Amino acid sequence: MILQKYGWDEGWALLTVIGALSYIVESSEKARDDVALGVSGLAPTVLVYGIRAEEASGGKARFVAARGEILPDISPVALARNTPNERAALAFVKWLLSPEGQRALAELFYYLPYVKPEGTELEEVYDKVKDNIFNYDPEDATRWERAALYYFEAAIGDPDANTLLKKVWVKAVELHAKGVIGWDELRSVAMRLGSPLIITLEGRTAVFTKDYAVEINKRVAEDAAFRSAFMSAVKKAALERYNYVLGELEARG
Amino acid sequence: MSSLTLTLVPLAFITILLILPVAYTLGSLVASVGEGLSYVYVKLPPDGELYKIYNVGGATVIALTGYDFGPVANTLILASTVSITATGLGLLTAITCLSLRGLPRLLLGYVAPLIASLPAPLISAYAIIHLFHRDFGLFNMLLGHLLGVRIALEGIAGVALYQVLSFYPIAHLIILSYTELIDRSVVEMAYNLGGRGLSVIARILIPLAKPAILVALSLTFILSAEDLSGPIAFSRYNSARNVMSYIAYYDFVSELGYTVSVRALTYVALLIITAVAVFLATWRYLKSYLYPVASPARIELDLGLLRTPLTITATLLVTLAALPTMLVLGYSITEGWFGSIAPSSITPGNYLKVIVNPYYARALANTVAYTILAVILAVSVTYIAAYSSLRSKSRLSPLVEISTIMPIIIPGIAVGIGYFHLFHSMFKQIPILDPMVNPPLYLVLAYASRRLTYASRPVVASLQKIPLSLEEQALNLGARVLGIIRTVILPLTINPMMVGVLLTSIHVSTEFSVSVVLAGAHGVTASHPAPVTPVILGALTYNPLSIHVMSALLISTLIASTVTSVIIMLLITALTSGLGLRSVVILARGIRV
Repeated sequence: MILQKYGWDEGWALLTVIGALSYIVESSEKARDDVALGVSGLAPTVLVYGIRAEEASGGKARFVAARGEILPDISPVALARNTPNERAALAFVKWLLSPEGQRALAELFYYLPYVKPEGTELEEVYDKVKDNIFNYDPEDATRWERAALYYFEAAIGDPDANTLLKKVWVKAVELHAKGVIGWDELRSVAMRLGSPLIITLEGRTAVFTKDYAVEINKRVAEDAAFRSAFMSAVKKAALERYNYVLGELEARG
Repeated sequence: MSSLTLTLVPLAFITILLILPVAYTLGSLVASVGEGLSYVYVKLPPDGELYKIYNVGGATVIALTGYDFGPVANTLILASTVSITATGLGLLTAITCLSLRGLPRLLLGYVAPLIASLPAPLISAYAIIHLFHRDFGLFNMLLGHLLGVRIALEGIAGVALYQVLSFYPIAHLIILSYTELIDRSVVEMAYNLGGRGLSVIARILIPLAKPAILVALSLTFILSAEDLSGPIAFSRYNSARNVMSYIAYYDFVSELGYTVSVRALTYVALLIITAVAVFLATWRYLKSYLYPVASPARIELDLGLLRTPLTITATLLVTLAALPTMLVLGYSITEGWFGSIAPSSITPGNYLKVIVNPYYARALANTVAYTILAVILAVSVTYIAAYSSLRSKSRLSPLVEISTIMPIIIPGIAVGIGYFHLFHSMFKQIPILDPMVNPPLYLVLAYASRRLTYASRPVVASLQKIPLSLEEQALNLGARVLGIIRTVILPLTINPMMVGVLLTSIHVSTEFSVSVVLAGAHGVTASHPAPVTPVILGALTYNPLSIHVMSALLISTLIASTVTSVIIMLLITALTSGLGLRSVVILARGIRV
């Protein structure tokens, strides 16, 4: 969703900076619970998790819907193929999409409905985020998401890469705090760290563009050896780039 | 059944169920050695720092983080540090216990360490976090209040502390149980000849305890290298994730899951090679440790003025090691404690949830069933192996002996991935034999083979003491080998066998690595095949506050599995030996009639 909303290059820069500032945990639920427990200060979360974390924290945590940004809240509904109760299932889906069904989802599960859930806990949230609506394209995402996912794991989530990435970003922020580099230059460091890497795989050197991701997506998903080689190539390129940027920053002070 | 057949049964059991999957894993790396070697690197200089000091909310925080040298070096350095520290502490407390008498010796020497060594995979790692977390750690709240200082354990340092506290009681029990059997007269002679305090310990006791010390060192080294609970609990820190066992596991279960990457294979292979190297280096001592010479009287050390300070230190250490287990017990009867100073309420409701939630109840029932089957299998192989290695004149007998000790050193992650890798490749067209579709079969086989050492050790030690003439008389009277095992050896070894059953069922029902690898992916349904540990892993990963219900689930499972296994084995023994249940129960309690 981030890559779609902010574009491929800026989206990766954003994800890279988020990675530089974050602990990497195994699940989105754990990120949420860490905030509820007071272990982490901040975590991105979907609406339902956010409200539940707020409740579980006993007042320690607060869910904030960022205006004009993204509130991931995709709640698809589907019918199982060959279901023996097709008519009943369709009737249920129809009810789910009705104002009553949407209201029930909002009240019971904190799913943000597509109509304003008046009189529920979510009414205020709906007002805040109604301009955030973004037409996420799931079909587009399925064409490249596996490649993007493993790219993220190798370039941002990998322990070696993530440690180095944090080191570079801390250095950049330190230089910014000392006034050595300005805001624009800090932003440019983020773009340089996060812009799609140039990787060499199976003898071919290419930038990890969206087209390239689409091209290799199926092999990454299905071929374990290719996936391993892809992740190694991404990690190698990431470490080289982070070290290069770190060297430049260290030369500045 | 001929003696050759007897010899071949345990050898085939271990070869098919342990050596073959592990060898297949190693063999499949041959084609990718070049790529595999790219994952073997050392970061020099290392990332991170040993510790950092900073201020938060008016308190000085000393954060121990540890260096990150990369997966291979991290694993070896962590395992060495943990094994040396745990064994050193174990030696210290064991020696202290040898200077005590009566109840203090029993409590400090055995009761508290046995409680501390009860396995509570993952949950006890979370308990360590609850004790030492910078902000909400119970220990730090006290320290912060008294001294204005907090000690935070982050990254690989947190894993090290968890492992030391978990494995130190094991080292203590190994060393104490061995040194207690050293001939008392040797120590008394040393005192009579003018030896005092530390010199007797350094010159007499420690050299005599060398086998136990080396066994403790090697066992804790392997336990640390293969541990998954610690790295998973501290996985928010990059250095804690950068160990071989975690990377192999994570590669295996990652998003697309259940494919074996070259990186996972490489790290599994390195873990196996390390374990085998440790096994070969300490085989001589492992062997002698298993057969300690019985002493007519327990030794008693004179520590002089050191006795009081050492007793206080040992008490603090043993208490600290037992705290995670006590916390697990506490979690099981409370709510809202994890992350807070005190629980929000005390409730038996967690145990009720275990029973009424079909998902948890199913995990409990699965574990009990798998444990019973694995125990029956392990005990059966144990008797055949014990007879074959101690009584048979076959040239293969030493191999049988090795095969009963070796399973303890094969890392669980290697067994889990090896099983999946081999048997999924072999049987993917036959769903009922495919571990991906039908994990219970492989869980039972992996448990039985991996925990064979726990079942066999007490029986082998006991069989050594049984006079051979009893079996010779039976042979002369026309009995066959299986009949001798059933009617002569079995009745005389019921007590040690039940000790083995108890140990095996505890370790099978809490088995972590093999269970999460083979049964971690099965869905959240009321008819899932997973035992409790993957359920605990899933629950804690998705909601740390579920630690309360998960503690109740683990404790219920431990009790149910061990009690049921013991009862079933008593019944089977009564039927097999023809002694009747009453006699078997009396013999199991160690009373000779």
